Amino acid sequence: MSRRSQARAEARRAAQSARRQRRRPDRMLLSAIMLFFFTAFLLVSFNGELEWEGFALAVIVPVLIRLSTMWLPRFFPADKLLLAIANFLCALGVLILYTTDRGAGTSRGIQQAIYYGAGIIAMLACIFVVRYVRRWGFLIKVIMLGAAALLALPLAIGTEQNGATNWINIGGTSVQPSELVKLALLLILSWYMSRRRFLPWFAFAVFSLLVLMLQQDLGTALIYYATTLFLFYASTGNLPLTGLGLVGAGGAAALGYAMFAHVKKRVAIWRNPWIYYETSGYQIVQMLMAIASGGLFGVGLGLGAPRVIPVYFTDCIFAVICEQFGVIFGALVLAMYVILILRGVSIASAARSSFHALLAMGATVMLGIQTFIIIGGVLKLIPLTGVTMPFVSYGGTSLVSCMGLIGLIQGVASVNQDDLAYDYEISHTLQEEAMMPEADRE
Amino acid sequence: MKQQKLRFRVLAFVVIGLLTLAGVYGVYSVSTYGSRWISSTRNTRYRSAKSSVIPGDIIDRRGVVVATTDENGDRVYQSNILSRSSMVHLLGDDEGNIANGVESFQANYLLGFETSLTERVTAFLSGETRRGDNVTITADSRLCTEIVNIFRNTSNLKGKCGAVVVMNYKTGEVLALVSLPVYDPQNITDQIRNSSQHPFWNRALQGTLPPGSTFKIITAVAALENLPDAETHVFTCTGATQVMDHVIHDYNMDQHGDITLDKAFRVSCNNAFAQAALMMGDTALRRMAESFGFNDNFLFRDLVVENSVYPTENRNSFEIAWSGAGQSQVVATPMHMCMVAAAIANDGVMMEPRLLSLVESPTGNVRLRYSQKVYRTACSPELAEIIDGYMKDVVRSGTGTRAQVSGLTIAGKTGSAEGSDNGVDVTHAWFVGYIDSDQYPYAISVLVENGGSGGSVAAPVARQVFEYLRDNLPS
Amino acid sequence: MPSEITDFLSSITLPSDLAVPAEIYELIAQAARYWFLLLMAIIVWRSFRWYRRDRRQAKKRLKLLPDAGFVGEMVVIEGNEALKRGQALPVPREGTLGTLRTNDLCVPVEGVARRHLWFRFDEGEGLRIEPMRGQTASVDGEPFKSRREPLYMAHGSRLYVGKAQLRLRLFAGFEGTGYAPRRDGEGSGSEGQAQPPEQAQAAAMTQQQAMQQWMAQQQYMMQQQLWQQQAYQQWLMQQAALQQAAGRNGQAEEGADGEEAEPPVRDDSIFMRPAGERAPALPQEMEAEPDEAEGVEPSDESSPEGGDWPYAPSPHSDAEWEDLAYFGDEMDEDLTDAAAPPRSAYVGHDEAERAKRKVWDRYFGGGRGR
Repeated sequence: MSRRSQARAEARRAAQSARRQRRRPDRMLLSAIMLFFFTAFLLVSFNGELEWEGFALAVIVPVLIRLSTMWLPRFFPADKLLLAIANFLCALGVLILYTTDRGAGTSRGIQQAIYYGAGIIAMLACIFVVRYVRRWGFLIKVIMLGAAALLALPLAIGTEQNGATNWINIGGTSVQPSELVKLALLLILSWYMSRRRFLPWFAFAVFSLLVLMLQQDLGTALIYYATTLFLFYASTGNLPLTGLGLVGAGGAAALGYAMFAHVKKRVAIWRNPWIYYETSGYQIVQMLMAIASGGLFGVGLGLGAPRVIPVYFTDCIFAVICEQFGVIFGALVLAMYVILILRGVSIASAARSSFHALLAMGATVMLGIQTFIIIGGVLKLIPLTGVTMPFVSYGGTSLVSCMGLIGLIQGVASVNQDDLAYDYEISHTLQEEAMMPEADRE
Repeated sequence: MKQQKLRFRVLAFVVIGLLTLAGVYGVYSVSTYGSRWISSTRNTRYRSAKSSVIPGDIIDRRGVVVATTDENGDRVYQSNILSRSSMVHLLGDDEGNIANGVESFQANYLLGFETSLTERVTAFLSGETRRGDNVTITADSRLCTEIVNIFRNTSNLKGKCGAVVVMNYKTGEVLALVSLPVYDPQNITDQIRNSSQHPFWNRALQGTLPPGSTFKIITAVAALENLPDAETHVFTCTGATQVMDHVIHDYNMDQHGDITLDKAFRVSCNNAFAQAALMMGDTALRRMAESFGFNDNFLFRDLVVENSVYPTENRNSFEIAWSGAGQSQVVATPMHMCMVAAAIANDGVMMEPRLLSLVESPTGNVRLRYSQKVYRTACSPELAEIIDGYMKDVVRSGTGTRAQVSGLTIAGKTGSAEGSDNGVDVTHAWFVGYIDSDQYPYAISVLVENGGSGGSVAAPVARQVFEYLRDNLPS
Repeated sequence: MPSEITDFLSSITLPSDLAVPAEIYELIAQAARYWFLLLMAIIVWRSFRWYRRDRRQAKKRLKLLPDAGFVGEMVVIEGNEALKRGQALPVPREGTLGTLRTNDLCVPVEGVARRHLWFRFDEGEGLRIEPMRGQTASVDGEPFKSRREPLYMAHGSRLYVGKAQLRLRLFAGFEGTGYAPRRDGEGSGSEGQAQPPEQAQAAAMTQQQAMQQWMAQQQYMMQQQLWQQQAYQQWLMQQAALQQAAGRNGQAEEGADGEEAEPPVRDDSIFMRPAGERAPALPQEMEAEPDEAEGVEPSDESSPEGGDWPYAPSPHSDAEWEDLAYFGDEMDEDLTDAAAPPRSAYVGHDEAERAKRKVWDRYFGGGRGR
């Protein structure tokens, strides 16, 4: 081989790698996300009296996003796009909460930032569980017992919040077990469905639905039910039974409507909230007015009157986003969720084992359904049920469980990458061997 | 696994479809209903904006400033108490007692929410307090005052509730929109607040009542379209038609004998129209009513009008028969009945009612200019022509003779609608009509609640309004 | 805990004379709306492009690594016109078998249901077979009884579904599962399948022997490849000579022999391949590539470089290999055991681990800074 051609090859390789470096897809996305939060927090900290928390967040949040998106995957093969989207949504929640904190004397923004850190740890834990657990059969049984106990715990020692008895107090912090049991539910469903064993997962699903009904946690029950039904369809493809499940859900809804006065009232509010303004329609009317006031481009960050909406920090946070940033921005946030779901589905489709595929798909579907239930409720498409908006709503348990779901998907993604790397390397070795004699010849 | 992957795709499609549905629905509902949600009196956002912005003026079609802001930042209306009272339902008051008056429904203009950023920066740099946009409306404040005067000065109308709407049937401009009783927006007393007549209630736009015989316009159009021999068919009026153990009777128990459709229209014979409704059937009548805008969701750009209803449930022959005469849960607002008359006058084409003619920034940038728009085509020009003749007959020699105005051809239809007010049977007097003239293209709708016969109570109001329009042609 | 931290933080205050008046803040915030919207649009757009690009790459990868994700293959011993003897169906780690095309193993043979059975590869156990409700199957003559006693297929096992007979050849997990038990001469269900001596021999072959045999095949293939390349070079030289003879200037020649000597650039970072790039070409085509782009950066999107995509002759994509492996004279009867060694045989465990690390580093940026 001549020296000239060697040098040329070298130059070409350098140019190629430089171009790749430039064109790495994450660069611009991450820069845009970091810039977004830096400027947003900076802007908000000038709203009213100066608070140094705003400046701190303006630095911490972008750095945290950068670190967790670029630096974490050095230790294990995670999916960066998924991480970036989840980070963006979490940080958006922190931003909105901090904005509504200004002038209200609350400190939900800072607390949410701390929960965000906890969420990342939960995500790591889930990734490691999915990656390194070998004896699932035993672990799932343990999880099943633990989850059942945890879910039933609020019935014994729970406290009531917003009409649902689904909170327990542990050492001064309140925890919502039904949020954490979501992860267990997915593991149980996907394990037994992939083993083609019907009874265990069915028993657990029925049990958890009953417990949730007893706790009057309708929104969470709906998420559990829909996820179970969708996963059942995905694993068996049994359309008649799935249809029966849908019909059963419709029948249950109709029965609930006929039997319970509060369900009737909720539907009536949904159909025309304005005539119930003084009493129970207040929340949805305020949300609609907030969204409409925002218009296409929003009233401007930190302006408007988001705090007149009841529970503006959890259930109604999407209305606040629409008021502050506008409906177009709201639609783009929805698009972020859609991309997250698309990504989740491609990870699930790439999984080599049925268990991993169902796990990733279940987590994706669960996130999607939860997003639909709350955003549909806020926009008055469906009756409002109190569930949190994934990643964005205030609340430690909710954020931790959502990041846990992302962790499950990430775990599957990393297993996929392992498999792929293995295949890739095998074919590589083959090729190398095939090339060898030729190279030696030269 | 392969099959599972296919099902994953289906699931992804479903979930993403749901989310897309939510997004599309959100954008749709905000763009259609957004302005109505914002203008709700319950929205605190505008009220808080008033502290930093001087609301713009409202000017009527003659250039009279009907609402402005004084140096103290208070909202002031016309100096004459009667004048400012007569416009109160159209404009709303400072407290937001009236739903969807110009003050609240156009608040985004008046409070400068549509101001561009550059305008804002210049206003800020010049150091002045920001001013909202000025809104010019198509209404005529003198006409409104005149209408209130008519109600005050007529003995049998004093203290009555009612509504009058005058609009240009060729363009859809609303000239007057008065709901009675009126009150003084600058002096709202507890007596007004607690009045049993609910003065804050805008009867012209919000008050849905049975239209009574005025609905026969629509029944007649439907009959002409659906019954081949409608014009020659002879109905028999014995004063009481028996339908399903119930009796259809005429106002004052009149008996008209054998009559044709045009005569029945002229004398407003319930029996004939009940028979016509039964002959053509419920569906045909409902279709025609819907073609005139019943059961539609009115989403006009400038006005919030309560939807009119032609009932679709619990229909039996008795109900259908009464529907032909505009009873039996058929309800409409005075605004909508004015549009019905206007559609007949305008060859079957219903114009969208418009109230804004111009929105201008304080520096003279035009934000919005009046544009007319067809709301819907109600019926064919030929049918409109026939009904036009019927309605002229009503005023010439029928129940509406008291609406005659010398020098003008008036067409109209009276109505005496039977309703109940807290369990007591009452008769609402209606008159809808128009001037058949290119110079004076005006349609009117008069409602006097619990007024009695339409021909004797509502028609004279219309006559006086028409006379006023004849003598003081609005520019 | 969080409340203590926030209490501490809020005890620190900043000078209030830095605060911005409300009107100015309002103006800035309203101007900033468009900025935020722009950034959001960029974020969504970039995320979507990233997603799209990865999907495209996954598809490309599927083409280039056609046997990725498969643990082995089922070789048809008895089938019909649609499923000929000797055909190989790749077996994924889990899946279904039936007549429908959507099944992982499509066996359109009489007696097989639309979705007939379900299989899963268990590490250390073999391929677990479980017929759907109401269906039957047997492995090496042993019929399925109940779900409590699962059937496992080992390397070389025969599966009988309907009128079809399939034989499993494993690539992965071969060591753990071992071979199918040797059959004695009498045969099980299938008639007229007297065991030829080669097969009995082959079934007893050790892994090492299999490896040796495979290496021999490789040698043969490489020899052939080499010949081909030499012939091609000769042809190129002839062309150059012809051109020279035709009175052209000598640059063509220089381009020809200067470039051919260059070994193809090896390119590991397949995952980083920019969007829209052409599918990589084979090494031979690389050499034919003209070199007028010398010194100039190759134009980005359409550049065919990086054509040295890691590529291996695969049993499913390369017709030549297939002929050699399955339909060669000497392997007429025995379709399974000896034709190729299990894939895991030629990558040791440590080697594979090292390889994985390398790929992660490339893909996930782990080695980028070092």
